[in-house]
Amino acid sequence: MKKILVVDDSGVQRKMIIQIIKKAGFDNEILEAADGNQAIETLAANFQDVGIVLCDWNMPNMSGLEFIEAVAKVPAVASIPIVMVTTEGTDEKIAEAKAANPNLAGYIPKPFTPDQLKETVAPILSAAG
Amino acid sequence: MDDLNQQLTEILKASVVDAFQATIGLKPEITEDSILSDDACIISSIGFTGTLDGSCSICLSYASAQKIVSRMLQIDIEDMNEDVIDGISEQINMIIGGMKMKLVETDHTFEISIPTTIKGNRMVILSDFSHTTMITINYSFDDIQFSVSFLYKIHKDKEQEALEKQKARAEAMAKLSQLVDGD
Repeated sequence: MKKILVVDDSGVQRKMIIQIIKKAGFDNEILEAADGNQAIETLAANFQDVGIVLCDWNMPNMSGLEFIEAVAKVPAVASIPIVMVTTEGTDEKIAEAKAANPNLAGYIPKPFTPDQLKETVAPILSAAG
Repeated sequence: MDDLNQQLTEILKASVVDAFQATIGLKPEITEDSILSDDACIISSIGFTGTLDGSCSICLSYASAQKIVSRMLQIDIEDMNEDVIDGISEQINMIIGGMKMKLVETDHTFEISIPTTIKGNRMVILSDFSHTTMITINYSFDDIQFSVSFLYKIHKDKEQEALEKQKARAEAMAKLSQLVDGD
């Protein structure tokens, strides 16, 4: 079963996302990272096992935008589905994210309801196995 | 300015509702009553700059903060711990994030900063700066009380400000000239 990587500098946000995923019935192992740098390190160590990345935008050290841009350039990880989960929900920001990573699998503006997260994540996780 | 103030008030109310309904499944209820208390409280604040400059803040007691984050995480929280600070910071982040998205209804836009959270006793948010406007809304529901404040001013760049000063000076000089001519 593929792993899920949750990237957000807020510990509370990571816990909430994990709760929603667990309540939706997904028993996948969950990895956590508090910024883009940690996410890169975690992804590098687990790239064959990660089935989806849920990533915030505004984070210290390396932002979510910088992270998804970096991932898009590395063939070994470029096809891993990434969903941004962020307060940066304007059309302009969504376009900026898609320009940084044309393979972006989804975009969930905060605040989100549990159903909104489940509806985006479920098909991706089911396809990943 | 009045139309903008009204629009921003409605946008703020809608953003507060969205944030709380999404995170704790409750719709906050506005109260006209004061919610000041002598209890220890926190203020979490985020700045923004763009066509509007200012900050958005939430002020609430430790007890209310703990209840909110308890509901967010669905666990019992008995202390004012890091999760509570983090949770309230995220809440104000979502409120201002929601406002930013809804601002497409106006001609305004801004970029937001990171939250700053302060702990203390009997704190209130004051605004006594010239050219600023503050919208404050108090909420009281289900044994939770908090206030949200949106402090703003319309951004003027230096060139625009210089042009306005020049225009105001020219109008004043014109009035002065009329007085002189009238003599």
